[in-house]
Amino acid sequence: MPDLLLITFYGVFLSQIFLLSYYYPNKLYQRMRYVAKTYPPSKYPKLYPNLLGSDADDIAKTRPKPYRYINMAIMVAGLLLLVVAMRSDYYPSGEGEETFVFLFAMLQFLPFIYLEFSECKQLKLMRDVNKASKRKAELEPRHFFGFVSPSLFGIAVILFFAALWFNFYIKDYDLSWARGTLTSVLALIGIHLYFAALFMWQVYGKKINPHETHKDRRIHRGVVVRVMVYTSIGLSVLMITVQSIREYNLDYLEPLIMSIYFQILAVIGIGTILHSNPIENIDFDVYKENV
Amino acid sequence: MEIIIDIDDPVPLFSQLMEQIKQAVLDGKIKAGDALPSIRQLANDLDINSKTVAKSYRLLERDNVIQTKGYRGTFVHPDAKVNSMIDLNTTIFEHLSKVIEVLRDRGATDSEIRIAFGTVMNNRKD
Repeated sequence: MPDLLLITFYGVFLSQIFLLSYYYPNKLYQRMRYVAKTYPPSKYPKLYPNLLGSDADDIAKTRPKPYRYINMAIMVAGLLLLVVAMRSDYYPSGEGEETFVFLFAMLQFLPFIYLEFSECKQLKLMRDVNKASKRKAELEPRHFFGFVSPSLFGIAVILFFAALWFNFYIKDYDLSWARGTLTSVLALIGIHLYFAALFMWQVYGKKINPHETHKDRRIHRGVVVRVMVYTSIGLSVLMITVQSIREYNLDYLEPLIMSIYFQILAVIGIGTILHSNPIENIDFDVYKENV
Repeated sequence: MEIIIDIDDPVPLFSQLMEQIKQAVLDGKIKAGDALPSIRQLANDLDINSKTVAKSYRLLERDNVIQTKGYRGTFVHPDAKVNSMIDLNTTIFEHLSKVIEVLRDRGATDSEIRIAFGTVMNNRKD
């Protein structure tokens, strides 16, 4: 049994390294390369507000490369860590290594966060450069349930309250800071408040991309809202699972659970974005000069 | 159904918005009972002041083209199609032109008419 735990942990951690530092980064890299090759700055200048000049097409093609190199470096670092752990006879005990798994996952997510910030910067530049006097809007109201099914949302709400209740229940309704009950509860509430703000911004806020078609924007909004609901479900399940394994002295499972959780997070986050919004379906004609 | 406004157009934004909503009703693109976006949503999408959208909605509501049902939102009025054909601006223009014509015939100067018009408008109680 212990050997099985060790093998499972190494397998799951290896899968985390592969998924977060190779598989999805590679998918995103291929997507960026495809866009740069198929929709170059010379033909689609509105897509590249900060790229001008004759060498803009070449710059656009090489621009995603650092992203790939960073991910490869993180992957190598992860593999080295795995080798060091194997050689040092590491055995999962849940005495703090879950923090290590958490920190490594954060390191793996950093390039994705960097991409998000770069995109925000790019979109802000697009809005600043956009001098079109004509502005368009859909004459249809947007509602939360236009993006996510009531049943899925219901599951997320039930699990949110179940996680809150379980957290109190398992700590015998002890609200002291020392037992961590309030910290967990406040963290869960805080993240959900952030989701609520993000939802309001996405659905009712100002246009982020001034050129995007209504159809593409609707798809994009739907993906973001669904990812938030899936993440909420994942968070609630993680909280219940972690509290349970701590309470029943199964701490040695914590690094394993943490690693699985981050992989699920990547699948529902990046996976949903890639799967629900294929690049071929996006209308890039709006980025042409005279559109 | 898409709304397009031109911020460089001399026609005021609220008028452009009103006209397009009326035209959408007349073209059958939106029908009686259809929900309309909230003021905030439309203002954010068009990147214009929400007061401009609110003014359009208020005037459309006055003309019985749309109706607000509290927290449920704004909807196309059941008689919107008929009411969209009525152009209050044309009526105002026609009536005022006739009045000005009569006053000029009686010898009133343009400045006297303007001052009198301003005074009457300012002294209105309702």
